[in-house]
Amino acid sequence: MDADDFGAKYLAALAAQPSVPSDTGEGADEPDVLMATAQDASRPVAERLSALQQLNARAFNMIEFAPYAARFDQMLKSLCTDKSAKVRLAAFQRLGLSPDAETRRLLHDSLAGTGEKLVPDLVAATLLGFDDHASSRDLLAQLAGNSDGKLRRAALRGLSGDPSMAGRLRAIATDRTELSKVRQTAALALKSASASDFADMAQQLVADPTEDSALRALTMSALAHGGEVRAAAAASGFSARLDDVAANTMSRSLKRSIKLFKQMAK
Amino acid sequence: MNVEISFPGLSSTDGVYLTWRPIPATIRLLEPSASPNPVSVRISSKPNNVGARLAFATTLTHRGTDTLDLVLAADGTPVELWVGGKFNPPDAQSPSPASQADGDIAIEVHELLAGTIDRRLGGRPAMIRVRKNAETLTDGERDRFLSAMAVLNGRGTGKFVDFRDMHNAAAYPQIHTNMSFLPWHRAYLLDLERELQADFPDVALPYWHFDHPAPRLFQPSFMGVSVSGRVRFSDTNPLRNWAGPGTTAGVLRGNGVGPQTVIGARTELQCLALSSGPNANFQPFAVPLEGNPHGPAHTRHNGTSATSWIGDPTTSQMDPLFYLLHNNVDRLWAKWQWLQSLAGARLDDPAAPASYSTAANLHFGHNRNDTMWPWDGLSRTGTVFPDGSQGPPIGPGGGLAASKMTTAPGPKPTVASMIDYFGRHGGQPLAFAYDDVPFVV
Repeated sequence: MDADDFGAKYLAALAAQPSVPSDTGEGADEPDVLMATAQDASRPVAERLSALQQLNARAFNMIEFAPYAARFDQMLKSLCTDKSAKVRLAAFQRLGLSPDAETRRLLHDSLAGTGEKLVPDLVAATLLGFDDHASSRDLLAQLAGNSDGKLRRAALRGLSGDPSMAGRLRAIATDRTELSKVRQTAALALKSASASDFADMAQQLVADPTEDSALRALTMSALAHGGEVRAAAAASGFSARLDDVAANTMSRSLKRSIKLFKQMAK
Repeated sequence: MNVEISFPGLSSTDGVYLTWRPIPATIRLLEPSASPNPVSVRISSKPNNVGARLAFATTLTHRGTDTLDLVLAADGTPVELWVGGKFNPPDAQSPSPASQADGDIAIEVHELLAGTIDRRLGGRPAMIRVRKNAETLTDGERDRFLSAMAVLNGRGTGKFVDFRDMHNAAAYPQIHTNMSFLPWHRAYLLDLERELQADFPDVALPYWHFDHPAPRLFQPSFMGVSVSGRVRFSDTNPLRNWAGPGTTAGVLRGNGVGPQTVIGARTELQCLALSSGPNANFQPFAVPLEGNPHGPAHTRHNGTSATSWIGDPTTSQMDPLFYLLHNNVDRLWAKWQWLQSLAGARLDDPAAPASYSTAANLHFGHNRNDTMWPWDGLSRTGTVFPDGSQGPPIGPGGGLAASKMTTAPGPKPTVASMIDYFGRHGGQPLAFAYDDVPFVV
């Protein structure tokens, strides 16, 4: 089919298209009605959550939503302590994009156990980890040491914004007694906390054939895609060692990352 | 005796990246034979493994042919021709009818003796580089794109920082809910795509065709899968290194859109019908389009978790998926321009009233001939929008990135310079195209 036939086909389809609905998108309820529903504890939780979802969608048009924005924000803060766990979670998740001091305090106290448990620990750790203010660094550092599984990894990610945590992150990333997933998370967090420390560590890991292959592939990929690629390539003997690694590894992802590294280092 | 094939602005060793829109080239004899007689040649293309090929003509047309016979002067005087990708609409049998790798197509030149193909005189590798449905990318294309994005992001410290900050809260009233929403985002995507191509010249920005399910796109190996509000990428996905503002690691995206989700917004055909026929007009198309499907394509991601960068207009640009979403919005504009032009409207002609708003005294940056923020290096803090918000200060990033394949639109694009992206009306093309939107003159 050439361009002319393709156009004729589309024009025919367009001619058969019924008139376009004015808007097939968001719900028609006004924000005031939706906020009243979301706040009404006597309503079924599903209705309240649906109202919150519609409000989130309406808020996307910031200019249209501007008259409601302040009240919406205030309402969300009030819902952080709602009796329904699902409503609390929805409120925190929305506020988590730019949490204010009070929202951070509630999350911190919930996670630390010094206040009411308002959301699951994993949610609290994740949202606090995305907080630019690093207001919960000590708590996250504690959890990075003494928690397990996803919560521990969320805490490790939360430390990625803090250069003072580089030594600790490196220690976990290079500890062979740790699980591979934990080491990988710590390695990526180190890359943000201290790019130079990460580059140094990655060069050692990648060159060590006895190391965890997934960790080697991950750090090689991160090195290849980062801003330190040329400095790493200039490091004494590293590029030559990569040729040996590529020749001897069975890992296709490691081979691919080495190839990209060499391309980006040019 | 051999031949040289040249393109404006390209050296003999530069890659050749074509779209459906033909561009001029020249061909000439090198090391001419001792004979003063001209040499007849046949130009053809070596197709790639999915049958994509080039089309040739002696004028700018969409009806180029698979082969072109020319006569080359013995003294090496160049002869002009036009070369572009031969358009084939994607379909079930051939979902990706363009190049799949750098140089997988080539221009071939053979001598013609008595109308019969004789020896090969030369050639030049090329690529039909068009923006494709993300679902149709090969694994190789997908991985190159992801690597390009990851390098641009540079773990939150690369050039991507400029793109992130060009679309933030301060910029919102300048670039949304206002007339130049579509032209501004076209320039923004073009700028980003050209930055990707600086390191990965074979990469074109794919689009998320959001009125269809996207089972390949929403996988850990591509744009990731949302788990508890955080996007999970596969171990080998370069986006695993992605970083947002500060040094925040990863991507925050709600779980509202999965591999089988259809977002339930206006369909492509409904969008194309927003303003149709000979009297089709930009404003009744563009304004509703921003509301729907653009709005739901963002907000459907929220699902049960509104901690979703892409669901908020001031953080959406931090999610790499944003660029595929907006590429589809831009594709809808491009497709509408093409289709309604077939029906007699002049929607890609910057001089035609219907191709953009004719309202007078729009905010600075929204009038047809205005330069656009931030590429023009001008502050908009003197602008006060209807909601009382102020325009943004001088923005980051400098001028719009250049491309070796064209001189357009220059570092300071105007609104009008985004309208005729194919260069149908006398201007230079912007050197991008979509796999399902042909060039037609």
